[in-house]
Amino acid sequence: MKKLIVLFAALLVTLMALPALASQIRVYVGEMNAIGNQNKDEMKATLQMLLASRLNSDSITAVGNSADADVTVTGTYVMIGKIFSVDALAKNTTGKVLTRAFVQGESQDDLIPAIGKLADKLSSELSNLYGNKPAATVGTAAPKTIQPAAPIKSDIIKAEQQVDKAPTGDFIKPAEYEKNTSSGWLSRRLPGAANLIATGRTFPDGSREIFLAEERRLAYYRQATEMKLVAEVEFKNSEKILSVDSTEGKDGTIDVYVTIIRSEELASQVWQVKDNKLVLVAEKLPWFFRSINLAGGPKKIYAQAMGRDTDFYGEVAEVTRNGSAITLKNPIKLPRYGDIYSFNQFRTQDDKTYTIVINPDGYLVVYDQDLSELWRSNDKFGGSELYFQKEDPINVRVTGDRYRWIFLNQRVQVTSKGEVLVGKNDGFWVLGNARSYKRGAVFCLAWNGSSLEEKWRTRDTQNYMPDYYFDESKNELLILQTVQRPSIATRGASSLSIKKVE
Amino acid sequence: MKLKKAATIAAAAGALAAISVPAMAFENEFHGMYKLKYFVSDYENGGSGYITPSTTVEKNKANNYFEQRARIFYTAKANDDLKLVTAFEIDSVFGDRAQGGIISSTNSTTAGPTAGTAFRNSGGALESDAVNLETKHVYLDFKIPSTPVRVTAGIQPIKDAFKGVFFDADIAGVNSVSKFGPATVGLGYFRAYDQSYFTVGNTRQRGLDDLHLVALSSDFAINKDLKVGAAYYLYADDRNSSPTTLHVLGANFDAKLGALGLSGFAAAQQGVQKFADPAATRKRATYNGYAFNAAAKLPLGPGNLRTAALFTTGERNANDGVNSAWQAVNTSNGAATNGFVSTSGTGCNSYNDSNMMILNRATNMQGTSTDQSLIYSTNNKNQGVILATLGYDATITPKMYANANAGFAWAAKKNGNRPVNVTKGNVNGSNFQGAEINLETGYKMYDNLTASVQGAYVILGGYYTDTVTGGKEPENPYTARVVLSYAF
Repeated sequence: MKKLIVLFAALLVTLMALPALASQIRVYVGEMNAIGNQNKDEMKATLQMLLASRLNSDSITAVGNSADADVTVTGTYVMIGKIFSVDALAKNTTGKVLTRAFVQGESQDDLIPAIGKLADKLSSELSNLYGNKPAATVGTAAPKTIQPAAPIKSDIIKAEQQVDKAPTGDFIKPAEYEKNTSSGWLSRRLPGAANLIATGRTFPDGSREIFLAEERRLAYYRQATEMKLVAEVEFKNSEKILSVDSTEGKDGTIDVYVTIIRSEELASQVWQVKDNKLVLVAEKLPWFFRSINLAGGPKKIYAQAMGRDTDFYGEVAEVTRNGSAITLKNPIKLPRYGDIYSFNQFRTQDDKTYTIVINPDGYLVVYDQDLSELWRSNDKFGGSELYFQKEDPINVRVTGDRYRWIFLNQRVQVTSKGEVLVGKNDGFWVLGNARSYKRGAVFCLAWNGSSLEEKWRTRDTQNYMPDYYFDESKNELLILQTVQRPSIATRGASSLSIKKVE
Repeated sequence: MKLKKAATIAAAAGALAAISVPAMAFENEFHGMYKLKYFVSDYENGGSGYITPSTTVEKNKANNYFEQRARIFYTAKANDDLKLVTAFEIDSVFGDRAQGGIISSTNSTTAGPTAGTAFRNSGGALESDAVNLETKHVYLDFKIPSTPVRVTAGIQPIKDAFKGVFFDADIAGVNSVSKFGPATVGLGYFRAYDQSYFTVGNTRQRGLDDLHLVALSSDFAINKDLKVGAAYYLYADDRNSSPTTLHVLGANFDAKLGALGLSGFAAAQQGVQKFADPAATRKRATYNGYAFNAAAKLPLGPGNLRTAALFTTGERNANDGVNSAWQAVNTSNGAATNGFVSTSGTGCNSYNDSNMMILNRATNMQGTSTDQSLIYSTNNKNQGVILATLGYDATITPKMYANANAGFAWAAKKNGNRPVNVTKGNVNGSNFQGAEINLETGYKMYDNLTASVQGAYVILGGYYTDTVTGGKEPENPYTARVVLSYAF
């Protein structure tokens, strides 16, 4: 009898799991082209909206972002004389064409019913194609490659998922080797190749403040369903932004600390958001600034000085600002290779505080409370294209370069649970000071008592990842990507993706 | 059989481990630079040494040539505290020499390259093959475990604590740098020459007749805005029968006062050269030279305003047994006497604060084989120098820059090395050697690649009046350069 109950329970669990597998098809209706119509822009948006709402059904969910979709539908509206035709094309995430459909009409009065028919045709075709199978397997991989415990639609890859599976053939199909962003939120293309990201307040409607910094520009965005540029400031040609960090004051205002180097000396600034404008509240501050959740604690601003011949001088200390006056307190002694941008601390299970540093070669080094080295990683992390230069009269005869290059590596972030987050970029051409990274990822590591063990990592981005930020309050990872590098003619472009860490 | 198999497996495993462990442990670090310059100049010709307007003709025809230099720096890092550092160089002038070899003494009177053959600084001629790779540095850089002492042992670059006005060179030796909190102490021994390599049929042991250099320096960072230092150097030349011992002692500082950056040094030399020749009128000559410098840098507008001054003492009569001229290091292969006033050796001292292209040897304005200046050494042929410069570095756009500099140079003392005014039959009374105006503007095509144009013009001073044959004025030196510079 007991065996029967167990069997029944197992069957029940299996049956309950099936609907989860037979999920709705997520369809994104992309931009519709309009030809031969006077109000093209208006028509494009209208068609997109009409088709999306009519596709929405029991089997199909219309989503607002291609990154969330299994299928992307694009189309063209053509009008010749009074006759119109709407042609639609559905593709899966790998770019494979799934189906095509079209409708025609003889006047504008027929347009709305025709869109309904087009939606029906597409729904029918897509439902036939997908049936009860998970969407990602259609036309790509064999079902057996899908691991229920490791849903490929997540951008977070957990350690237990990183077991190499035996290839089923000589060709690795996209579903098995998926690299595209497939979950979370992805911004549109943002003008300017931003190097740095910082977050500000989160509002009741869920939107939040985001600050992006290019070499000489600070942009203030409001991120909701879209990234809306609220304000931006441009800096002088002789200035370069090295870091952007924020902290919330007692009155709720956000201080944005912008570390700036000018003529090889620090000339940092503090900005605030007032009436949707960026207002300068302090300048010419000779400090490197960084906000750190030290050992996963509350976010505070820290500062470090620059020396006459050392790039980072002395200890890192907590900042108290009163106007343009900076007061330092609670200095922190740093271990070897430690500077304000390369270190953090984490607490162990036995309540010890260890310091972690990413060294110039990219290895993570853990130091104990006496700053003696405990452990260092075998894998390299970090990798950044952000640098500043200082005149190098001692070595110029040898190097032929008047300047030394000081690269600012990826920052190490620590959560309140003691997890260590660090970015990693890989590149085809990374030689000496010539760096061009191609892809990046964020790694989460945890101290197991003797070493840092990987807990999860994100899928590789398809571009260089200059910076990231883990918003622990929302359990979201904000990943900044350079989608186009700046050149002589352009500022380049960035994108921001936000991934839920589950 | 079993034993043999086990031994084979063990050997294979051992070999694999031997191969794989260093591969896993080593970090390979590469840096490098490439510089291509096109010159149009009435004096520069790809060589090195003093520009001597008085030895040229009144109307000097311009040279025009392309010159390139590539340097590759490779560092094999075993760990944070142990690395082997190497540097290599390839210099060529377009059209110079190629396809040659080095001849031996068996088929020629002397060993070494002959005209038309390829050796160092070659390979720019048709069918470019040449043996032209130079090894610039090879040294081990390691930290002595459990101490704050870092040692560099081998052929390495060193520069004095006085902005290079005494020496700035590549040299073989053992150096150490120890950090004690805010203090840094350096101690090194270097051997510039071993005379046994220059003596035909040498029977002397190695290491007895050498040019030694001992360097002791210390820096102390008092706070983030002030660093002070002191240094002592011993230059001991025992290569010949007139050995020279020179002690150099000085102090330096680097400070920031508000936005103003200040730096400078003061240094003194005391030494003696002994003459063993019993017939010599003098048994010894003493050295007591001085050098002073101050430099300032102020952020202003879109760039920096700079000014600097250098003074090195000179000597009227270096043969009177007391030489008060500041001495500086030059190459002096197999020299019968020390190379301080050498006009044939390559300069091993520099002064970069000036940012001059022609007036003095500022290595930051060079970068290829062309290494020629009016005041090639801070010794300035025992005349010393007073050099005042003013410049402005502007950042026009994030990718474009322009620098302008003006400099004025005087000989500190008049002596027999001054060129003769042919009309008067005597040297000129004016100490003013010339004024340089230079301009550089560049564009960063990529972060690592910069294209620039440099131009400099020197108005020669009364020092050179009527010093060309026939009592004519020498032509004012100028240089125009188009530069491509890649550094990584």
